[in-house]
Amino acid sequence: MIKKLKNTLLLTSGLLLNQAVLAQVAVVVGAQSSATALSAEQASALFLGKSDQLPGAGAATLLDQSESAAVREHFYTKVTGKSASQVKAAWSRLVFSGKAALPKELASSAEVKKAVAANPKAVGYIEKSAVDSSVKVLLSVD
Amino acid sequence: MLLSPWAALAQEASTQASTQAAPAVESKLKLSGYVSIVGGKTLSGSVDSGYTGPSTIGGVDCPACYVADWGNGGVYGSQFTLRPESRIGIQGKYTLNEQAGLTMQLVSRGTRGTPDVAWAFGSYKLNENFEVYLGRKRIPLYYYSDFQDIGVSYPWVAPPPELYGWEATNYNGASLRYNRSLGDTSLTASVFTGQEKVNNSLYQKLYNPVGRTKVEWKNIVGGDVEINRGPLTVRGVMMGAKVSTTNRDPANFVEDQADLRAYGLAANLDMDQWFVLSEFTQLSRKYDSYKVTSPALTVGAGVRWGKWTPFVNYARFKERTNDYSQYEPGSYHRTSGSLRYDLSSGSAIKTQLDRNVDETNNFGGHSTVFRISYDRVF
Repeated sequence: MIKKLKNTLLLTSGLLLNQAVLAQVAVVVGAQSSATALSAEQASALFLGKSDQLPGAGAATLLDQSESAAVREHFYTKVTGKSASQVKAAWSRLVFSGKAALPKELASSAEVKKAVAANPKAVGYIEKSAVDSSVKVLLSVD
Repeated sequence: MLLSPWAALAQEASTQASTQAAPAVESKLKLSGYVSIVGGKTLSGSVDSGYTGPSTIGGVDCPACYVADWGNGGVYGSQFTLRPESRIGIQGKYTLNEQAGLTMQLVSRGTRGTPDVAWAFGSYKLNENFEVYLGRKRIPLYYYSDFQDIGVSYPWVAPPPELYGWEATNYNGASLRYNRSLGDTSLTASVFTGQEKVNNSLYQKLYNPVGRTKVEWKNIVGGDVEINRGPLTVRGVMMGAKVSTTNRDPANFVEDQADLRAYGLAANLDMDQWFVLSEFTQLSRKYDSYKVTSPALTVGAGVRWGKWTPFVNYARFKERTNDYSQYEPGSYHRTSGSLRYDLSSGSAIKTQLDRNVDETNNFGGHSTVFRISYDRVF
C-alpha cells in the first residue's frame, strides 16, 4: 500500500517535472557546426523528410528521440503540426521508395548532445533545459 | 534464387552487428518492412438487363465480384477472403557511402505464389539537389504509385483502382531526381526511362483467362514535378511507352501494339484536421487502326479526430474509343466510405464500404463491397 502510494507520488512528481521541462524544445547542432538558424518551416521540412539540407552545413544527419519520449511528441506537435501517425506515414513513403532512410533514433537528450558534438552535420532536438555549451540552438520552440 | 541476395544482406547485417562495439561504426544496412492484411467480401451484386460481360472474373462469379487490384488480379467475391490484397514487403537499404546506396524490396502477395523483387536499385547523389537511380523501381505514374503498397500512408483500404493498377507497375531503367527546398516550399522533379516485361500478366488474365498473356512496355519515358507549399501539394506527370500484348491461346488470342500516352495531375490539401485528396489522369492507347482514351479521377475528403480518420471518396474510370466495332469501352464509378483507427504511430486498422457501378454494363456488374484491413510498418 505504502509502496503503491510512493510509486504514485513518484509518478506524479515525474509528470509534473516533465511538464515543466517540456515547456520548450530546442533544435540543436554541435557547438562547432557551421549550421545556421532554422525557421520552424525549415525544421519541419527536415524532420518530415521534405528536405535533407541543413542550411550552412549541407546534407543533414537527422537525430530522433525514442517514440516513448515526451520531448519527441512535443517536438513534432509544435514544429510540424503532425501526429505521430502522420509523421510515420510521411517517412514510410520515402523509406519504401528508397528515397530516404529514417532518422537515427537515440535514447535520450544526453545522447543527442553527444552525437551532434561528434558530427557537425547532425541535427537533433532536446529539452531547452538540457541545452549547454556543447550545442548550438538553431530553433527554440515553446 | 530469389533469396540469395537476402542471405548476403543478412550476413552483412550480422557482421555489422558484431562490429558495433565501437560506437562510431554505424550499421550500413537498414532493414525495414510493411505488412497489410486485407480481408473482404462483396455484400451484394447485380447487373442491368442486357449485360454483355463475363460471368466470372479472376475465377470469381459475377455479379457480386469486385476487382480491387487490377495490377495483381485481386478480385473479391461473396466469400470472405484475405487473398486479393494482402501483402508483406521487406526492404534492405545498404549505404555504401554518403553518396551511394543499394536498395532492394521483396514483396509477397496473396495473389501470387512467389515473392517478387519489386525494387532493386542503386542510388548515387550527384550533389545536394540531384540523385540518380539505376535498376528496378516503381513506374511513378500516380501520386501514390511509389508507396501504393504501404497501407499506413493513406486513408483508404487501398488507393482507388480506377486509377491505380495497370499491366505494368514497376520498370527496369534509370531515373534522375531533383529535390530542392526554399523556405516553406519544396520541389521534387524527376525524369525516368526504361522498360518492363510481364510474362504472365495478372491484369490481362482478368480479361483473357486462358493461357498466358505477355505484356511489354518498351521505351518508357516520363517525367514528374511535385510542389509542396504549406498545406498544398500539387503533382503533374507525363509518360509515354510502346505497349505490346500477346496471348497465343486460340481461346482468347491477342496480338497488338499500341502507343501509350499518359498524363496526370494530383492536388492534395492538408489542413491538419481536414484534408482533401484528388487526382486526375488520362491514358490513351493508339493502336494501328483505332484509339482508346481513358480519363479517370478520384476525389475524397476526410477529417482527423485523434486516432480516428473517416474518409469519403468518389472515383470514376471512363473509356472512349473512335471505333466501337473494334473496341468495346468499359466505364465504372465507385463511392466509398472508409474509417481508419491508428493503433500506434506505425499501425492502423481500417474498414471500408464501396458501392461500385458498372456504367457500361459489361464487366462484372454493380457490387457492394465490405473490407477490413490491418496495416503496419516495421
